[in-house]
Amino acid sequence: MKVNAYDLSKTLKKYSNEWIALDPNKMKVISVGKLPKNVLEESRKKGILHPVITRAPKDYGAYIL
Amino acid sequence: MDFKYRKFPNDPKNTPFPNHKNALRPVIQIDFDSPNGGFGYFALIDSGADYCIFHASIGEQLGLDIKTGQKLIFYGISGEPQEAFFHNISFKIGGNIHKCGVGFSYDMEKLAYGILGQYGFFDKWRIRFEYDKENVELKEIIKR
Repeated sequence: MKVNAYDLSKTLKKYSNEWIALDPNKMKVISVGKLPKNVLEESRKKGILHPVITRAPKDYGAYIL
Repeated sequence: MDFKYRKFPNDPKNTPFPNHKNALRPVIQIDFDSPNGGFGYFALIDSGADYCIFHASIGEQLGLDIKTGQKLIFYGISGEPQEAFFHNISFKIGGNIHKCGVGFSYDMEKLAYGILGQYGFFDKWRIRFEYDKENVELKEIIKR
């Protein structure tokens, strides 16, 4: 199955108010936690040495910045 | 360099446009090298922001003592004052080293991404937004 690394709409939908570490190639969730430190440590334990981290906000709403 | 826009979830109960199921945003991956190991981080290219602002918890992960930085009070659309502390850092954009001053803010901890604003990002890169192609093109500005 082809992985669309740019479409995170389904991947991130189920998370709220947490930091998430993603596999840099597949953009698959590796670990979830309250701080970047936690998700990075967990990712490295799982063998992903350079994860991509982002935050899932409490509510996915519109951004007007 | 070309970067694809990224799709993020939308709350279907909180949208004026029911067919607008996902939010398409010019969010790019930037990469940090840190003593504790490198990592990528998502940042929104935001022409409406004066400066680059990242989560304070990212700065802590980089080993910064956040509140020793130059303090800035800034305002978002709500008009409420927020604070950030500036530090000079470097990160990679598409493999290219980028150095700039970034404000780290505890007030943005609830938001999803860092912000790449005018001073520190737009002054160093020429940016072409192509929403219809879901593409954003960056060209480094070479100062003579």
